[in-house]
Amino acid sequence: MLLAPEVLERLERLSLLTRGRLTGAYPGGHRSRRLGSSVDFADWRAYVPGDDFRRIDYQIYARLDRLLVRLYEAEDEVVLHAVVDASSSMGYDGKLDGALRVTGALCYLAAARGDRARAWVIDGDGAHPSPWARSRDSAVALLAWLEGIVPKGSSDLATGLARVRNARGFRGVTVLVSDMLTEDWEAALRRVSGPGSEGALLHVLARSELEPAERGDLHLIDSEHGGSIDLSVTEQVLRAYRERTRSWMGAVAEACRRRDLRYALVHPDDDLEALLLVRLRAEGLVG
Amino acid sequence: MNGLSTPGALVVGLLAVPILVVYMLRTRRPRRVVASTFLWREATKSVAASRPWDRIRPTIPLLLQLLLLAVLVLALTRPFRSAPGVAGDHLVMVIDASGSMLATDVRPTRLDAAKTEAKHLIDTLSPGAVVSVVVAAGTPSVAVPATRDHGEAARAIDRIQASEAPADFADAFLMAESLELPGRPATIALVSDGGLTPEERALVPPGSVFRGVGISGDNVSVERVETGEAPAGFQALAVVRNYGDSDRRVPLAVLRDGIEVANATVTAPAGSPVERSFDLGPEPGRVEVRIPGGNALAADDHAFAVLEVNRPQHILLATPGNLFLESLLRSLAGAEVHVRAKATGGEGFDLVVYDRVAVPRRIAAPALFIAPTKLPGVAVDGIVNQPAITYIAPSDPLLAQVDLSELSIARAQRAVIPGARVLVGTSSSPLIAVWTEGTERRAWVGFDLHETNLPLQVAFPILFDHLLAWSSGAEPVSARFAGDVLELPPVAGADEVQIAIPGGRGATLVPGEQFVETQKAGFYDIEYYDNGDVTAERSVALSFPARESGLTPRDVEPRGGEERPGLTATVRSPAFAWVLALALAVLLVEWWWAHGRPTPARARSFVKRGKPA
Repeated sequence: MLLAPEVLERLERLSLLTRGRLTGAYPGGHRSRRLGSSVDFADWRAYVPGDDFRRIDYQIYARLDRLLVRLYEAEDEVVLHAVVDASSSMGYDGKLDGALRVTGALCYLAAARGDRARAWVIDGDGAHPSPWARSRDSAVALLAWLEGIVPKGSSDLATGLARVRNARGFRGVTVLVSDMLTEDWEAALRRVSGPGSEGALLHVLARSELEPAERGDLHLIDSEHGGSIDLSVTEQVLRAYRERTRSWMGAVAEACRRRDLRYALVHPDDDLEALLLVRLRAEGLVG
Repeated sequence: MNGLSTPGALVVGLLAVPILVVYMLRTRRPRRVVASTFLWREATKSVAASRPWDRIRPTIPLLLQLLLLAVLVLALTRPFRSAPGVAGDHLVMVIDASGSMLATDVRPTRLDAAKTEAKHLIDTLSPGAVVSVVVAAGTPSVAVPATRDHGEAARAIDRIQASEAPADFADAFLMAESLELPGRPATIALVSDGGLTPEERALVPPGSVFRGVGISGDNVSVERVETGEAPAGFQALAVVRNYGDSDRRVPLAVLRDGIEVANATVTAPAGSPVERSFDLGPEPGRVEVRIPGGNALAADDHAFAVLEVNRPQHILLATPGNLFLESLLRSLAGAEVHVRAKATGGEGFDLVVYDRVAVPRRIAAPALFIAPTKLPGVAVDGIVNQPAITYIAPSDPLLAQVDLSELSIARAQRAVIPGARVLVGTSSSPLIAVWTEGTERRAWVGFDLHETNLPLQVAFPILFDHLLAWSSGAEPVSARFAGDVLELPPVAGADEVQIAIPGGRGATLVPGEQFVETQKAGFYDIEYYDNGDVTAERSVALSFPARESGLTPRDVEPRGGEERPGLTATVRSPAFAWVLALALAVLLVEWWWAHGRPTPARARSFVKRGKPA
């Protein structure tokens, strides 16, 4: 099982958070951009024929001799699209395992609170959607679907995310879970969020990628693309590698900031509850 | 001696330089599969620029490639092995299969070493050359007449078995020469331990080549066992010979009818025989003397003899008076001698001795004639004064242990005896002869015992003992050996003889024939049949021939006088195939090392591929 029952139980205390108001298709627990029928007063507007007489503010009419209708806030569901990168590069050092766990946790906590959640997997064959989850039971089925995911081929994140955006229909929250080890990572980030939606990047990197153990003369083979490079890994080269990695991670985080995407660095061996309760809560993704 | 046909091809070895240069330019790096090379690419540029040359590291692939180049260069130089080989296109091999070739001083036996040497000679022949093989055994044979199928010749050589009899090299050489084509002399190779008599060495075909086997002459044998009758019963005299360089204590065991009845230890001086007698009691039987344990030649550690009463018991002596004969006959154990002045037919006697009397036409018993005045069937045409002895039958068992070198005769009859076996003779007449008439044996001495010095010599009782025993139908008491011819004298009424050969085989003959398949030492059981009923039976013991016990290897110097292709040292055996096979093996190892060898990285890669993330 991807997530243990006790973990699922604790996840039910959390909920998916949004920075702004998002419009959903069905009523839910999040404030919507639409006006609706909740108990929270929002505004007045001039009466037009056809409005419900019960909503006319007669106190205003008595005071100002104008017919105004009272408007109230609407509460909608939030739609979560969790997109997992399942390319071959995610198959190393448990990166895909970690990515699937955090994806499953986000989908479960959202569905348990009445929001709709769906996972997407982008691998060498394209983008594949999971069944929708809007309850605990359907969320468990989604977790089972995630368990069958294996790394495969070279993923085109930008194209895959474009398909996710075209298919999602309703605006919501898109969370990309990927190592971003691709030349077109910036193009992918551009497709994570859009007008009326929010996005986040959970950047999955193994600690061995930040501090590699390779030494000496090596013939490095890219697991995803098959390309290779000859390299003499010396301390000088390792310093250059670390500098390059820090610089690249900073660039990714900065790009997320520019696009108002929430960003969190995730290691495969991170404790899931600490990740959700501390770092993702700090990023305002769950609460 | 080895060499290279095209040594100039060694220049190709300079290809090692570019191989080394390639290794200096491009370091073979261990392969590591990483998630992505995306982050490593920046570092690649600086490394490539900083180390354009690499120092040479002695890696396994480099060493394998240099080895492969060396092997290929070796192949191009066309190496060859130079060994003595047959120069002609027809090889006739005479392979010694006599008893001495059973010696184990070279493992497993000398005969096996000879087979290996013979097959090696075949290997040096050019394809299509003709091979013939003659087996020099007691009865020589042609194992392969003339074949271009070298495999068939090798298989025929493998089938050769040694006999325990001495080889008849004279016949073997005759067969070898008869296999040559007219006008095309063949290479005749004798493969042997050199145990040829001087007479046989003289018969070696001129121009032959000799390939020797055997390394040691050390051996101890029971040369023979002789039996005799004493008042207390039978006695056996065992003769043990030590062929080594130092004295040896030799244990002996005496078996009578398969049961050990006596044992002793004798000290055999180096190069000399030693005798030891054993009392075996009055009962007839079979005796075997053996050396327990083993040495270089196991076959000669046994000698066999038969204990039997083979002397005539009732003897008629017709003579005008002969003290020598009477004394001799009366000394025979158990013999009853009747002396008559007038000759009779001998009815009722085991043996009749006619000494200087006229022999009647009909004789009813075996007979020994000594200078008879008249003998039907034998034409005496005169007297020879002081005859010169020119012939003494070689290796005739009747003359075994009989030394006639001092024999002098004043006068002898000059006679013609059709069908007689001459034992001693002059150039014109026999002096001592034997023959068979019907079922009876006859012995003839052509001189008066008073006109010779024979009765005064040691040879006298021995010779007459043999003649009397033979005449009465018994085998001589002296030892006989494998390879000797067994005579099967006619027995009245018998129409068939069956012989059981040591080792289990048997043969059927007609009485009066000779049995020559005596290639094995041991007891030969002979049974005479009359319409299926056994009418007579006896045993003959053949021991391992003493001549074959002398194992000292000797060279046989080739005789000149005839041009034959011999062996040459310039026969080249190309080693090209072996070199190419080695190259292929090196290539496979290099490939395996580069692509197929299980490494930790490959193992991890396999696990990653096989396990879902």
